[in-house]
Amino acid sequence: MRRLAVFPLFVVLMAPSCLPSTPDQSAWRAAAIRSVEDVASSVATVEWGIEHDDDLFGRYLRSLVVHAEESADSSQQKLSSLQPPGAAEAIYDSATGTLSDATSVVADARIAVVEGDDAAYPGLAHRLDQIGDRLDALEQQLRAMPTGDHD
Amino acid sequence: MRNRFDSPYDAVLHLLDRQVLDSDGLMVCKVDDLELVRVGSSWWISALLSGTAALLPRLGGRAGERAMRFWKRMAPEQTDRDVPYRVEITEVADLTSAVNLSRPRQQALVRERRADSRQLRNLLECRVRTEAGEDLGHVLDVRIDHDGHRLVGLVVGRGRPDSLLGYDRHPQQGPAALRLIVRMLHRHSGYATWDQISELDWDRGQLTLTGRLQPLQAAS
Amino acid sequence: MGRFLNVALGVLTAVGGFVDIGDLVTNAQVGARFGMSLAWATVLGVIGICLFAEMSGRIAAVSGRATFDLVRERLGPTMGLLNLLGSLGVSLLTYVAEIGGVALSVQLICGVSYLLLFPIFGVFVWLVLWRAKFSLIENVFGILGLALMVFVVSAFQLGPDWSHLGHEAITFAKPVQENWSTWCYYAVALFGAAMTPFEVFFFSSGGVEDGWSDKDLPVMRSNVALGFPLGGMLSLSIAACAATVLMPLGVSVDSLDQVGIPVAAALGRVGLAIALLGFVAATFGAACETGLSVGYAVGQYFGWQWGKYVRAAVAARFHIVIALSTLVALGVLATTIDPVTVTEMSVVFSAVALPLTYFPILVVANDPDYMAEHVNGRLMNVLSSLFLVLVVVAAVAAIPLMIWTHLGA
Repeated sequence: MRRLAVFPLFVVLMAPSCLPSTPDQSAWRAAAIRSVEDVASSVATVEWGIEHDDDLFGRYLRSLVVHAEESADSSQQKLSSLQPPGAAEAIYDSATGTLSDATSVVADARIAVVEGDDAAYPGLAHRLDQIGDRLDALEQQLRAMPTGDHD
Repeated sequence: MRNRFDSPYDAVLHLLDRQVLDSDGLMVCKVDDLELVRVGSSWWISALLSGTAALLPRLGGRAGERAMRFWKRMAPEQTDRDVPYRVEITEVADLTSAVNLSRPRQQALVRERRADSRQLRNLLECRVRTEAGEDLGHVLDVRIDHDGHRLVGLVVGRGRPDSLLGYDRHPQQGPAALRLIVRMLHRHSGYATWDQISELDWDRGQLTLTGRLQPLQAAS
Repeated sequence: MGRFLNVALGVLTAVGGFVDIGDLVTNAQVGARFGMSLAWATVLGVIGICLFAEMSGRIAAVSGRATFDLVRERLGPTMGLLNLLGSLGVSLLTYVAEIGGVALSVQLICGVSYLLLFPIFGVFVWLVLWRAKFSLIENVFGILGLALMVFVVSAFQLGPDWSHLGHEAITFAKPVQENWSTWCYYAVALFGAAMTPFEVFFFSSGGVEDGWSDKDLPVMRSNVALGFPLGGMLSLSIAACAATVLMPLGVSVDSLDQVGIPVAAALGRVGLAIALLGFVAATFGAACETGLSVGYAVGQYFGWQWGKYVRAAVAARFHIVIALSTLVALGVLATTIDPVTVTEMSVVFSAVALPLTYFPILVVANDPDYMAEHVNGRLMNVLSSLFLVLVVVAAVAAIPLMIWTHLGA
């Protein structure tokens, strides 16, 4: 008899983890800011690396860029998997859009570094600088968002 | 370092859980327990005990008993699974920061149960009360006379044997804050001589004292 | 002259051996995010470890007994066992982090993924612990670890605004966008990184390995008084470099390669090469120390012969414990967990485990039976008691802070 009761209990307990996690406004804002900061850090790392490739060894720069890309990808995915609360839906699209643009620039940089394509570095540095500025603006926007305590 | 066996000492504080070294300075074992035998009306330490069979029960109460049962169940075909290893007390040369044996460690530990012997932990688990029935706590430590290792007194109080940390015995041992805390926790602890024991029931872990507890003092 | 060389060697080894993967990562992370506002935590940690290393070294020299031996003797078998389990857990976690750190450092040099390297270096660490002489382990990696002095040179070369850094340090100037809870969490992490428990096991057991006696007390004290603070200065310079280069860029440190960026910025490829040598030496040396500490702790609890001052066959169980713990560490690394994450956890859990180690040391350092006339003086007791309180506060706050701040996110 006890075993029969366990099954529905199990379903009830497991159900919430099958749905995407739905944080409230302030939690989503905090998670979004963290993600943006992490991706911005990766972008800045890669930008510094390709601008200073003369101060680094080839293998070192490769490691640097590959790790930065992994970190950016995981931060971006973490945010995309969070269900935005109603009020944040507007900014959700622009946030995930900017983050995914950033990760694609970083990926392009990684490809160039691994192939040793030095000629592409200046162009990539410029693109990284630009996406860095967009990420900064996004972070300001997120910080200016109301924390939604009075929802 | 001075030889602690030059004067009376306390079994738990000075002997139990100490490292045992052989005559070459190599490590042998820890003193996991002590074997006590009765000669006449007195009890004497006859051997140091070591090994899993001696250590597990000392882990205390229920946990110790279950650990011991588990240990025996792991090899039911062995007859002496619960017999600890022993080293005769006569093979101990002196006691400095470790117990120093007078022989090399090769085959120093022998697994042998001596009939009619008891272990110190049985004594340490004893509840102590006065003849009037007042509960005084547990046996926290046992004072040993260095000449022959005869049990001559008991330190009685509440709490566990190790909670004294030696602070009760040295009046000025620092740091001051810790000393005060331990003294406060053990303000009801005291000392009783062996003759004050009117009844000692090993199996039930009960010990009855006559007279009053004296204040604690360092062994020497 | 021989005396002087002895002291010099001891000091240099202490400096070079002070920094491990926990110090590298934590100081760089803190410098990049908080500037020098948490310098006080490193300073406190260094003072703390000086106090407790001196006490445990003195106990080892005067009584010939190492730390874990006394933990069981003073606290009893039950508390001693709980203590052993706790200390083992933290030491194993640190062992995983250090071996991972070696692999990550070598990856930065040769480009091969650390996942392929860690088994090789794990086995290498075990072989060194099995076969190499203790003095070799102690001295070689300590001296090579001095390569990390390149961070001190870089800090000066970068020409930061020293008064600004100093001001940050003294006024605890937390950056505006960070929370106080995260700030406190990193304070505890820095404290745990500086006062690693295994360091004290290693220092005191090493004293017994080297056969210290009363006569070695002055040398031991100079090692501690000069070596550890200079090592602490290394830690602070890692933070200062990160604060000067990484903070303005908005780079937060989550991999070992970012730690080297300031050195490359200041000194170019030459500096970077020296830093990489330093990373490998520091992490390999720390891996050896941690592996030995696991063996010391288990051996000293059960009374087994331990140590490298006897032939391996004479201390068979000690070496088996080390081999098994290396296997466990490699098993954990094989789950592809990020060694930097393991490092972050190990420093926090180190902070939690600190009271377990330090309390018995403080008690025994005062016991005239063990120490004869070398018991703690008044001043030593006052300072150590204060630090015991600090250590307990850090230990209690560590896990709640870790959970609350999501490992310092």
